[in-house]
Amino acid sequence: MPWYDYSVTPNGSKPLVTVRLWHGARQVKLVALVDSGADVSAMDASYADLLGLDRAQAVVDEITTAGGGSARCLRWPNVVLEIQFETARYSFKGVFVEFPADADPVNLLGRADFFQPFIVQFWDAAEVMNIDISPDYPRPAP
Amino acid sequence: MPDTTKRPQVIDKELADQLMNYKGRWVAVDKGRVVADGDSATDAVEAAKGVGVTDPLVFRVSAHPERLSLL
Repeated sequence: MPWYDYSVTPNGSKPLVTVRLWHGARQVKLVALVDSGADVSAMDASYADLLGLDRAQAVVDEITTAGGGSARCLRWPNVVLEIQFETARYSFKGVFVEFPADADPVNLLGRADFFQPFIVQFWDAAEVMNIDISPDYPRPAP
Repeated sequence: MPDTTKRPQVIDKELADQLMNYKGRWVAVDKGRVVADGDSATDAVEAAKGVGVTDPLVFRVSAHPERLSLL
């Protein structure tokens, strides 16, 4: 159960990790915030372009941003997308967000995918988190 | 034995200081330093390839780091 140091940001230490997004053989390595308050993962839509996803083929929803504005949210429900964290690779169930030009986009790892295979603990006082990718003790049955 | 090692920061103080020069830009980072930047993720990746980096860490730097984000 490795510990992960929080990263340095202008707004203080944040629980950031490196993950890879996969679409077939195409992949991109990015930084994302481990966010237990996010129902779903959300990535900047520019990554979709890098992965060869066609925005014209996306299912589009409108979301309200934290600042009260709105942004387009793209999904490709029939396309297999995966997230890789360390050696674990699993299905990406999140969305891609077209953030407004003046927004401050943050990639989020949410509960619907990132929090499913792992046991995640935050220790803000020590600015570390524990992401247990392979528990050595039995888990309770779901 | 449980793995109790500690992984290093994804963004340390040195890299955070570098990123202040790239507000609002997409950057490609390799071995803890910015190796390329661009207007989009694709631009940053292509620019990184131009300096021989094929697997960079790619992300957009906040344009307003002084703002407190709710996200």
